[in-house]
Amino acid sequence: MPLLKLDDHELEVPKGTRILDAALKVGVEIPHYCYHPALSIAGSCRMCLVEVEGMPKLQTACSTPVGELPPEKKIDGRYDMVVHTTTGKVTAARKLVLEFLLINHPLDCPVCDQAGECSLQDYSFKYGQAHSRFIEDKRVRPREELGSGVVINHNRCIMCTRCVRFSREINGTGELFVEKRGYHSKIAVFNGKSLDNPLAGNVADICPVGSLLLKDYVHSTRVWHLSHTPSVCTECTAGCSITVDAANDRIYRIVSRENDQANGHFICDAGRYAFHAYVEGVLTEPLMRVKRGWKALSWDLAYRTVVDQIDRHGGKEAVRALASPTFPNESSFLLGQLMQRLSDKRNVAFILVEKGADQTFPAGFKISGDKGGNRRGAEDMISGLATGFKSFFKDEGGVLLVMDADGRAEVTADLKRLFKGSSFKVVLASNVSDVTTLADLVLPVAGPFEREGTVTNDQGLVQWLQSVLERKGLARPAWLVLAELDRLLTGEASLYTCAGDITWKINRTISAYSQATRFKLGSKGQFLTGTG
Amino acid sequence: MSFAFTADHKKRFSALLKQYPDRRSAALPALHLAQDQEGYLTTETIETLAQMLDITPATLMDTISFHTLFHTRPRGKYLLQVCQTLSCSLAGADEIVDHLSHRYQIKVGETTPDGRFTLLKVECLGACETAPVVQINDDYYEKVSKEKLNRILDKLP
Amino acid sequence: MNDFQPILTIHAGQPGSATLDYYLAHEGYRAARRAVLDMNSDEIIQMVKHSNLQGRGGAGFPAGVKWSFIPRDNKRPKYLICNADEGEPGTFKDRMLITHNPHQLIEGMIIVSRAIDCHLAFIYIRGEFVKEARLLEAAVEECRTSNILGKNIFGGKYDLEVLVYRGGGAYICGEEMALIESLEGKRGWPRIKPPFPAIEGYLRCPTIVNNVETLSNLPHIINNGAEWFRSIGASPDSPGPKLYCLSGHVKKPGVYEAPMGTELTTLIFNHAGGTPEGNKLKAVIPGGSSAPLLTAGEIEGLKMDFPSLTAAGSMLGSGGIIVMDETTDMVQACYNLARFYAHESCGQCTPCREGTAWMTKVLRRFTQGQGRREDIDLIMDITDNIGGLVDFSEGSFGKTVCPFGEAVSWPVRAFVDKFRDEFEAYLPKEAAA
Repeated sequence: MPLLKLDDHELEVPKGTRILDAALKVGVEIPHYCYHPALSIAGSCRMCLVEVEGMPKLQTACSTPVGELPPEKKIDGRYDMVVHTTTGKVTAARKLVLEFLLINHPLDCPVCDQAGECSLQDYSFKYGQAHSRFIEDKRVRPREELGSGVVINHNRCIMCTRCVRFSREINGTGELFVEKRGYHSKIAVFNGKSLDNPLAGNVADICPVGSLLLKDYVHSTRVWHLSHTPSVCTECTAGCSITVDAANDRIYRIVSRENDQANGHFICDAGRYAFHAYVEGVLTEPLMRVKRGWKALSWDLAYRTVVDQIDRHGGKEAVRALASPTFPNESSFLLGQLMQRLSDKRNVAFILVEKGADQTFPAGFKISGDKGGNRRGAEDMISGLATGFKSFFKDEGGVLLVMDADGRAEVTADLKRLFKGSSFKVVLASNVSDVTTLADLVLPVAGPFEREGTVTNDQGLVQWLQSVLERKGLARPAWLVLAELDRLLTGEASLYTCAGDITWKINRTISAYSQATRFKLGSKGQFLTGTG
Repeated sequence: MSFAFTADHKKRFSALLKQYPDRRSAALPALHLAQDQEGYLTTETIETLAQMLDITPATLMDTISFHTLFHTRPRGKYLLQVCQTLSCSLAGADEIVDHLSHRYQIKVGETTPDGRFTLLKVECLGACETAPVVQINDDYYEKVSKEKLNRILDKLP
Repeated sequence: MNDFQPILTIHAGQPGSATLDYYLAHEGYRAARRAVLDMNSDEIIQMVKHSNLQGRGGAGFPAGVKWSFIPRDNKRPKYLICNADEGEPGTFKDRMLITHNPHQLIEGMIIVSRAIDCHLAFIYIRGEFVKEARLLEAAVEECRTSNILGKNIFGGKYDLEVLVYRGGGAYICGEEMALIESLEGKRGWPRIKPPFPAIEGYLRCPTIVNNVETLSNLPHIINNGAEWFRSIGASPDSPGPKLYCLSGHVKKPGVYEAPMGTELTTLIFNHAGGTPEGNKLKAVIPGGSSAPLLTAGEIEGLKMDFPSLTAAGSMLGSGGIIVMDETTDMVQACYNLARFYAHESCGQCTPCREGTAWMTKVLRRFTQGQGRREDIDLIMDITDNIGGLVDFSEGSFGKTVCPFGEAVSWPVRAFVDKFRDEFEAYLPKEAAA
């Protein structure tokens, strides 16, 4: 394999590796704008110019491949290529490219949302010069709304064309293009059309400056106030890795997190904006249906009510459960365990959540049509116990224990019939929904961004779901509620103090999950044994 | 206002698609054909052509807006394109522009109210030995003096 | 040199010279027939290599060497593109060749195509040359009906189609990587090299791009041999006939065919009749607007071939000679060219997109009498940062994707460098003091 010398680093790289990719691997910073690992190479911003021994002009690191030299031609007798990123020529070039980029760039930092995570700021600070020599009139264009919640601030655009390449190569709609040429170039959508595709928001993530921004996020906060929590999206079974940015117990935005084992570099708009759906109708205390409406209960009373109702309506044998594909593995595991201890019958079915067609995109990104985000995980947790929904109709019911599906449960005629045919319905949910309105007793549990545990996507990748927000009011983690019900109904006390304890139990109980330990999950997750 | 090629142009377009190893290569010839037919390229024209070439309208617009010969707004019947680059400038192109601007009472980039003449300044037309040069629609008029130009313009139908 | 007989333009001005009948009656297609029926690819490439024919479009790269870059083991189709996107200010020779002798060009294309095993060739002609494009189409059609193009040409086993492709109006599409993009139906943003077009060009297939004049030389090389070609001109390292374009302040502007290495003063004062009204010569752009200008004092004894002009700090380029006499306002002329380049910048890469516009704005402000003293050095600096000094000295070198960066920088730099006093004269009176 060719041997590359990059400043003080020596590394063997496969032939054809670009210098920039090698640099990223060893942590040498070569500033760049137009390069993006998921997109084709443009080589147009000229920010990544480096000095390559043997070549008179500076070369763009993003596009220059490392080749192989015959033994007699190797540099210093051993290297196939020697690259310098800190010489005077390189620092001068960076300074001057930045000067060019800034001549038309407005001094918007105080009002620009990209501030704090802006490559133009960062590189100007590190590599630029402190003053501009430009005294002419700047090119000025009004801000435009492109559609799908994306706005473009043309004055800040540095024409890196990442967004255009994304539009063509990743989501395939080719809606963005460069209009005109030279100094008058600008990013545009075709006459009168608006950006309209499920991956639109990604262009704001990949824009290195504050040109493309999300309407949902602009002017709401400053990035340095935010905490950035790595987690997983559970809106569909693709299970994309995300970073949830929050402050003061409020989520401000979700951005994609790179994971070559899962989503690559992008997320879909549904996942990006999902957090808004859970802000309204939060359940904060146990509620019991009474004639006039709902009555709040203490947890003690709520638990006793459940036990009581089970005694009165057919006992443990008659209890049935609807598991939800939206809860983490730990909750489903405990639900399965509980139901197994209550009876030998197959007494768990799945609440219905939409299973539509997948949406696939040119470079391989997929939005799953199955909106039960952790369906694979949930099925793995209660395998052997699960039965079809309709088999429940055979017997008249006792108590029905329901895990809600974060607003995505389909309240079909069958579900209503099941509810009607059960003597007492207990629903564990975080937000008011069409399902909770049919319940007799609602137990408030942690919402999608308040939960912790593992989730398994449709490729068998297990990832750690990290909580971001505090639980509201008296809401408790679903696993805790199920563990307590288990203790009250079967007398078996669990020693779980956190979701992670249950993860460990899963690792020891379900063989496919034996390698999916918290240690091994890391930030990119771990495939189930036998998959990936 | 939808767009369709004339029968003759349709035949030529189909021939074009067969000649080029890649459909998209037929973009420029198709655009010239459509513009010759319609005078300029409307949104509908661009959408129709894009579909025929199997690309998005945005992608076709990318190509159109890059090349200066394609117009997406109506132009006068006669496009007066005066070369302003060095050799023509040394031969008095600026006076020619002023002369036309004055004759038709329009500024550069504008069209006369009756829709007959649009005045444009263009870059090197590749006929420097006969500077100054004015291109009117497809035709080059070379070594033009104000008088010669007047005579040419007077004769235009 | 005085008895030099035109080779490329020998038929210019003769009635019917553009027709196939005329061409055939004057030994036309003899070379192509031989290349197709009696020669093999290696023989043709070797002959042209040996002839030292250098590209006439501006870069001056040896044509035969370029063809030999096509990888033999590459199974993809090969393409030849004739670059007829003549847009370099001061250049108008290709138009002349096409108008007066389109078949000479087609014959040259057949020879190259045969050498590189190409079966589909294009003539990319600038969109403004409408009449010339129609003329070429007619000539191609004549060839088709006479078994000179099409299947089994000349009765042999070789097929070749030629398509005439009109550009859309963009000077940058004369640069081969941008040309290929435009031919593919995209915007003319030059691709980064490597890969080079001989490896991955049109549709990622091996492609050769040659200028009209370069191709027009080929029938003569095949007919008369490489040695004959090398003997024309001042030096066998840079030989052959050359079409010099003279325009600007000369009495007889036009295309003049002369041996490579003819002295510039001969071309200006003998061929083109010198400056009008006997005005003093001030400066000359020797090779199209991208070539740095030379002052009147610098052109004594200067031979017009590639090495001589490089040694003089300029370039032969396309051979477009723009003559400027003492009546020329050099600041206005400089602004004129800067504006041209700013208009034609494709906008892909940062230094050119922003730098050409910046430079033009500073120059415009200058011509309006609002220049500052430091602007003169600022202009030099901007050009430096786009295209670098001609000698790539420490701290300065071209940063752009394509040679457009150098093309705009070097000329503007030369104007400011050599006519600084005129720039200073434009400064407002207080600053100039």
